[in-house]
Amino acid sequence: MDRAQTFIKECLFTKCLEDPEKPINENRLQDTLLLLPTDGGLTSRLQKQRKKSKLNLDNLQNVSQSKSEGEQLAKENYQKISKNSKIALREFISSCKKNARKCLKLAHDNKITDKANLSSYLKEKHPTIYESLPEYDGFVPMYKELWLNYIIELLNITKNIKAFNGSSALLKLSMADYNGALLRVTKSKNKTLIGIQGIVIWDSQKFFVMIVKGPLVDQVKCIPKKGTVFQFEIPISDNDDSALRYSILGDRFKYRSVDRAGRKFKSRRCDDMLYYIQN
Amino acid sequence: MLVDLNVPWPQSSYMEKVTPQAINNLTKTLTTLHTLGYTHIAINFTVSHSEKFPNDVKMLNPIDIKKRFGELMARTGLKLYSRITLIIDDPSKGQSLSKISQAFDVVAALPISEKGLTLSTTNLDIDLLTFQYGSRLPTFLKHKSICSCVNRGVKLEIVYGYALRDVQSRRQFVSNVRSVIRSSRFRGIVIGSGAMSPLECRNILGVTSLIKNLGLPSDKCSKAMGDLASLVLLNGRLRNKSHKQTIVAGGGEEDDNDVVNDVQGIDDNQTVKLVKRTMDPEQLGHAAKRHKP
Amino acid sequence: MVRLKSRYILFEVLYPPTDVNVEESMSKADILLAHHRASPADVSIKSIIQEVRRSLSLNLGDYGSAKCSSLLQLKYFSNRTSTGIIRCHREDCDLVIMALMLMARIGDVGGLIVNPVKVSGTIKKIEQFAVRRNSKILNLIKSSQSSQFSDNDFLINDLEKIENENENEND
Repeated sequence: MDRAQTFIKECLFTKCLEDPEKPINENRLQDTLLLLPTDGGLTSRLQKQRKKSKLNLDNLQNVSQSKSEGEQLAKENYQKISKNSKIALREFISSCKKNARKCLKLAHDNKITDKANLSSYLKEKHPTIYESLPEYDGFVPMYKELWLNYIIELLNITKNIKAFNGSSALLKLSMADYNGALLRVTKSKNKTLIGIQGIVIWDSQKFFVMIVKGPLVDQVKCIPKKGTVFQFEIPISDNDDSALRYSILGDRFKYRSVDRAGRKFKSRRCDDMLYYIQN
Repeated sequence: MLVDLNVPWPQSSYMEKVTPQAINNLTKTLTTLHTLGYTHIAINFTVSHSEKFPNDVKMLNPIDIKKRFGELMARTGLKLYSRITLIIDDPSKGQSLSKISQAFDVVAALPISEKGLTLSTTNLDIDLLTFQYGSRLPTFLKHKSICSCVNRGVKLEIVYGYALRDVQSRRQFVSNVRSVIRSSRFRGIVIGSGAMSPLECRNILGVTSLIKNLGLPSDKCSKAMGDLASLVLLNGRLRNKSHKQTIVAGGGEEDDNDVVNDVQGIDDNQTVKLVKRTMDPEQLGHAAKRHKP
Repeated sequence: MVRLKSRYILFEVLYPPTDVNVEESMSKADILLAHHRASPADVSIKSIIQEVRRSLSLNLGDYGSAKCSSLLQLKYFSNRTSTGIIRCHREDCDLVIMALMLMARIGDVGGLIVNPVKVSGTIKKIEQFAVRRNSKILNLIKSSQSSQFSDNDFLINDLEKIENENENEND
C-alpha cells in the first residue's frame, strides 16, 4: 500500500467513518435501495407507440384543401391522402368483420336461420350494426357492369372465338385490374379456403379483399395470395352459356395492381407450387 | 401420381419415317407402364441440337399425341406428354430454344461435350438435364455447376433403362449415376425409364431399391418418381400455357383440372379453355354451403 | 431376446404381350388380362430360386450373393396366378428386390418382367394384401366384361388355397 493510501485512511476515514478499515459498507445497498430488473423503458415506449399508431377514423390527418400552394404541399397532401385511405380501408374491413361476427352471434342466440328475418330483426333492434354491414348486392353491379365490360373490351372478345389470340390475352390479363372481379379459390395450401367465391373489392399486394355472399350475412374476407389459386370466367356472349376460364397463380401474383401494369414477369423454379398439382 | 418422363419416340431426326411397327411397340410399352401403375408418361423425342428444324411451328412436333394416342388416353386414363431432348455438342451451331419449346411440353438437354455441359447448366431455358448413361460422361461433374443448375429449377434425370441392357452399359450406368448423385448432393433428381421395349419397364419398388443401392436416400427416391417429376411437367406446361407463370388458361375445382392434368381441355394453338359457365354472382360464397339445397 | 428379423416380398411375373399386335381400342381390363397370364410349367419354385441366386451373383458378385443367401427362401409360387412370396433377411431386402428387378428371364422362359409388389414383415399380412389386390384386379375385369368371369375364378380358388396353407403353417 502506498503512502497516499495510508494518509487517506488515517487522516480522513477515521474522522468521518465508523470503520476506517472498511470505507464502503457492503450491506449499504441492500438496506437502502431495492433494485428491480428493468427493460430499459421498452414497454412504456412500445405502449406509447401503439397508442399513436392505432388506426381509427378519429386520428385521420387533416388534409388541407387549398390548391394554390406549392408542389411540395401537394406531395405532402398526397401522402396524407394515401395514408388516410389506408387507415379508412383497414377500419372498414375490421368493422365489417366485427359486425358480421356480432350478427352471427345474434342470429345464433335468437335462432334466426333466414336472411330476410335476420335483416328485419337487426333493423329493429340493432340499427347501428345493420347499417355497417357490408352488402353483397351492392357490389354485384360493380362486377356485372364495370369489370365484365372492362375485361371484354380489354381482350377484344368477339363472337368469332376462332380468331381469338390466346397468348396475347394471357399477357393482357397479367396486367389487368382485378378490382371488381368475381374470383373463386380452386386450389390452396389451406384447405378451408377452397371453394370461397366473392367479388374483389381491393387488390392489395399480398391479399385479395373479397366480399362473400353468405347464407345469413355477407362477409368481407381477406384471402392471401400466397399458396392459393384463383379462377375466373369471362363469358363470351350474353345468350350463350360458354365462357373462357382462366386461373391466377397467387404465388406469382404478389404485386399491387399499380405495380403490375408495367411489370416484366419472370419464370421461376416452381418447387413451391406442388400443392397445385397434388390432390 | 407416378410419373415416367422418358419413353423414347422411335425417330432420331426429322428426316426419318415412323413405321407402324414402331408405333405399335411404343403403344405396348405404354400399356405395360400403365399396368405397373404409372399415370403420367412423357414421350421423348431425341434430336441433335444442330439438326435442321422445320420452320413451321406445327411441323416441329412429330409426336401427334392427340391423334395417335387419344383413344388410349381416354380408355386407360393415362396422361401423355411430349418431350424433346436436344443433344448438345457444339453450342455455336445450335438454334434458339424459344421456338422449339413452344411445340413441346418438356424440354431437356443432353450434353455430350464439356462446352455443351457448361452451356446447358448456365444459359439454356430447359426443364431437365440428362446424360448418356450408357457411355462415359463428357466431363467430370462439378458440384458448383450442377448445384447452381438445380437451384435454377432444372432437374437431373437418371435413366434406369441402361441398367437392364448389356453388361458394359450396366457398369457405366452405375458409375455415372454415382457421379450424378454425388455432384447434385442428392437434390433435384428425377428418374425415368427410357424403355425401348415393354420388357424394360419396372415398377417403383424395384427402381427405388436399385437407386437406393446406388447411394440416393430412400425418401428422395420415391420423390424422384412422384413429386419432383410432376414438378418438371408443371414447369414445362406452365411455359406454354401461362404468361410467365401468372395467369393460366383453364382451371377448376376438380382434382384433374389443373394445367398438368388437363391434357385434353386446353386448346394447344389458342391457349384458351372453353367451358360451360359455372360461376354466377348470385351463388353463395362458400362451396360447402353452396351445395346445400 | 432379439428375434431373427426377416422380410417377405410379394412379387408377380408379368408377361407383356410382345408378339400380338395391340389394338388402339384396348380397354383397361384387356390390358390387365394381357399382362397377367398363367406361367408355363418351366417356371417352378426351383427354377425361380435358381434364377434369383444367379441374378444376385451376376449383379452383386460373390459378396452380395453370399450376404443375401443366408435366409433366402421362396415361400410360395403359383403358376396359375404367377404370384409368389420370397423370404429374405431384413438387411438384404433391398438387394433381393434389386436382383428380382434385374432378372430378365427365368430358366429358359424369356420375355417377362418380375415385378416386386409389396414388402412386409409377416407372411400373414402379405397374404392378406395379395388376396385384396387380386380381388381388386378381378373386380376391374369383372366390371368391364362379365362373360370372361368364369376364366378367372381360379384366382380366387388359388387364394383360398394360400389361406389354407397359412393356417396349416400356423398349426
